[in-house]
Amino acid sequence: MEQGIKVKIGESAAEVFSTMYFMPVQVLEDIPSEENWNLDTRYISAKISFTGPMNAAVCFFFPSIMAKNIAERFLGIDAADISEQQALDTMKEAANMVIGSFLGKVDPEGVCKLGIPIAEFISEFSPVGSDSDAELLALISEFGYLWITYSG
Amino acid sequence: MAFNILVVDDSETMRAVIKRTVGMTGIGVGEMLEAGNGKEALEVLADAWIDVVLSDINMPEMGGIELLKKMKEDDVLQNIPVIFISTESSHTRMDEAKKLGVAAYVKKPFMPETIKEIMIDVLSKAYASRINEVSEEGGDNQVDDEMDF
Repeated sequence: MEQGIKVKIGESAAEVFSTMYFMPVQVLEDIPSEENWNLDTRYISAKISFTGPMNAAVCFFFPSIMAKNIAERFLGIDAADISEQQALDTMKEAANMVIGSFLGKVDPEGVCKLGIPIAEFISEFSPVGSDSDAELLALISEFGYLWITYSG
Repeated sequence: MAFNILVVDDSETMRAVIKRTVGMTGIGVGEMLEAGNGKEALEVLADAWIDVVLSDINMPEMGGIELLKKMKEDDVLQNIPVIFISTESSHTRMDEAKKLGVAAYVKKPFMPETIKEIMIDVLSKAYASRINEVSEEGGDNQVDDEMDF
């Protein structure tokens, strides 16, 4: 992945997560080694695309524990009271805000068009098994790794 | 003084967050209504008295820019201030919104304090102009120097 894109996605994610979820995240220079992955049993994937002079599809893989905490902080309700639909909607909105913020940095004239995000629960996820044509990004947080794939 | 607020966003989750954020500002809220897009917002505006609209821009069926245009074409709705809350931050879109008469623009992600500051600023200006209209028409209402939110 072009270093500039990686940095800007990382900056956008950090801005969104700290502002809306009070959750610091940091993009890692290198993908962590497999023994450190600590993969969750369940993930929410949130995919969003943009088209125009730059085209890309970006997919976020939130471990369920991270998703619960994001939704709790975003919605201001206890994690136990958050429905599956609310969790999916919150991750869609997270993807929307991160990539919206990213486009604001790389496309200040707003020529690119941001698509509608889609989110779903997935029970099996592996950074190795994700789209082989996509670039992989890892962000570290207090709730483990947020994985992002970028196909563009 | 309580204000009736219309929140327009295709994300139910984001509408809930905006409503919650507005509730935390300390601004007096009368009714807080919702719409999923610009078309639904116009239906709400046809039936309810709204003092301020908080709207996303990118929505299916009718987006925020089109909603703002429609409101500005209407004799009654044109005076209702519209605040855009959106991930869109391009100069082109913001200039377009300004030319159409958007009252303010909040970029997502946003801090609750930003929403509060902007809403107080927008409502103060909108309220002051409405008070002046009543005074000029020779109404009995007196201009209140202190705006108590």
